[in-house]
Amino acid sequence: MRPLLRLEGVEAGYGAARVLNGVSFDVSAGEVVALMGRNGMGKTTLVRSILGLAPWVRGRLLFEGRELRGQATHRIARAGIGLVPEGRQVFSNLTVRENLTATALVRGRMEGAWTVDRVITMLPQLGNRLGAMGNTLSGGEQQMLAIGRALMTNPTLLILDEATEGLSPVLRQEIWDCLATLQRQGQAILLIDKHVAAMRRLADRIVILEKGRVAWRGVGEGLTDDVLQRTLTV
Amino acid sequence: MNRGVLLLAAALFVLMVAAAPAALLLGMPYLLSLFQKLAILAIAAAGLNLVLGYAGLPAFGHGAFVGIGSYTVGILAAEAADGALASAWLQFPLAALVAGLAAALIGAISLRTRGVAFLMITLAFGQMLYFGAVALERYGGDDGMIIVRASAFGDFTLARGFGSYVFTLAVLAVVLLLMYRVTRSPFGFVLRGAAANERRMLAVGVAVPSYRVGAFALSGAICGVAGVLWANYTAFLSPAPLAWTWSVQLAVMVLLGGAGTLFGPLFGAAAFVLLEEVLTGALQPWRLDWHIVFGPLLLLVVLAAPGGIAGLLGRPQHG
Repeated sequence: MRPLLRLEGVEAGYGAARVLNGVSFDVSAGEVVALMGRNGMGKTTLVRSILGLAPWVRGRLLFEGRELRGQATHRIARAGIGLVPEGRQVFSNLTVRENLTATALVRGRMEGAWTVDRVITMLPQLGNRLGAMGNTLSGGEQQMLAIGRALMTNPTLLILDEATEGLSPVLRQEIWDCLATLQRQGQAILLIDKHVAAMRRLADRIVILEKGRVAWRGVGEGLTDDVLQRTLTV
Repeated sequence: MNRGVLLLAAALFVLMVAAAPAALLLGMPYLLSLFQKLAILAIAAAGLNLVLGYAGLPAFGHGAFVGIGSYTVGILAAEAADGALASAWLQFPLAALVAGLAAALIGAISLRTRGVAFLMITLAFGQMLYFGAVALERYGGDDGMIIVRASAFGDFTLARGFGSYVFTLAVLAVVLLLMYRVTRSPFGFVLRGAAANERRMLAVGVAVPSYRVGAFALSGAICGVAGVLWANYTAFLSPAPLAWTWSVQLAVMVLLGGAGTLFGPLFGAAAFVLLEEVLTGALQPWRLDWHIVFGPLLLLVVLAAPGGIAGLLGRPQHG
């Protein structure tokens, strides 16, 4: 598989505090990569760095062979990176339909582009709530909307940061099912979450961060109790 | 849109339409004058509402764009004594274009800043244009000058009167319809969404600054149209609309009526103009300025009803 996203020696942080200390890994086209690690190990900072929302110190960000480091956030997103952010962050003053439509034309008209109808087929819970304001949705509905909104930008790579956080087991499973469907459709996904078992089942590869560095990488079967104990257990 | 807002908007429109025959039948041209002023201010406030209300940008220099519209009429009237340039077919598009371009330029520069700095820069640009107008001695300078020829579509003149009043109401209806369509288009969704969370809108790939400059341009163009109507209404060219006081008054109308709502500017302009009328008369025996009552009233609205009149009429929502 050709590399879609390539991170090379990413160093980033906030002011004097260095959070990422040379992170390197790839995500290939059609691949699902799970990014794991304890709290504070730099997962969200890495996502923010990819989108140009956290300051870089050193390193390269190649997307489809093109250097994106230093580009404006909206240009990075337009290159084909769709983000489902931590905390959902739906537009509270727009309806569900407006949330979806607002981002629909970001990458222009494309063949096989996501439409509101296609999103609703994938996330049927949103179908009955199209006229509801973002701030009236339940946590689960907001999460579905955040995913739908990211899909409407027709991303080549979809990044989900803690997409199942705070959701009931039933809703969590619906999110996992949705991601599995996207995976079958060939959608490349970079997934950050705390549910190890589900990540193992879904991901083609796993990358674990520790103190801003890649501490382990491999496939799900290789994630032994010893590795878990060493890198994820608090 | 909630029922209360729709009912009040409908009532205001009926009142404004009925004012025309009532003024003719009762011989009270003053009614027309009052409601025409209300309609022109509502148009300008609707223009500002796109930026201040929907896009959530505290712009305080929009009086300047009304002034640009007025100066377009005044300068063209003054430069061709035979009336060759007094065509409304020329003046409306030209005023909208010049005011829109000025707004786009000011917006593009101001949008590099945020918060109080943004507010101050828009205010400063407005004042720069105000003093620029004051310096135009050829067109009356600080004193202003009488506009010798009203704008006209052929034989139909916009000089104050029945025809001009009806035309102003039609323009108000068109502007509100335009706002309805714009704020319910993807362009409007981006403006509103970015007002709630700009970073998020950028992170989904939307070039927010470009949309905001576009909003500034459209908003300025609408204010420019209001300026053409104002020049014909007053038949006088004055730098007053460019002054910061006008910009603040327009902002007060938007906030009083309900920022980010379709009919908020209409409600705000109506409350402003009618309160000015009633309070000026009521306070005359004591020789008090009407602002003495209006100020505390405005404070009360801001504290008790942040959604303005539209918010008081129902659950705050866009539209």
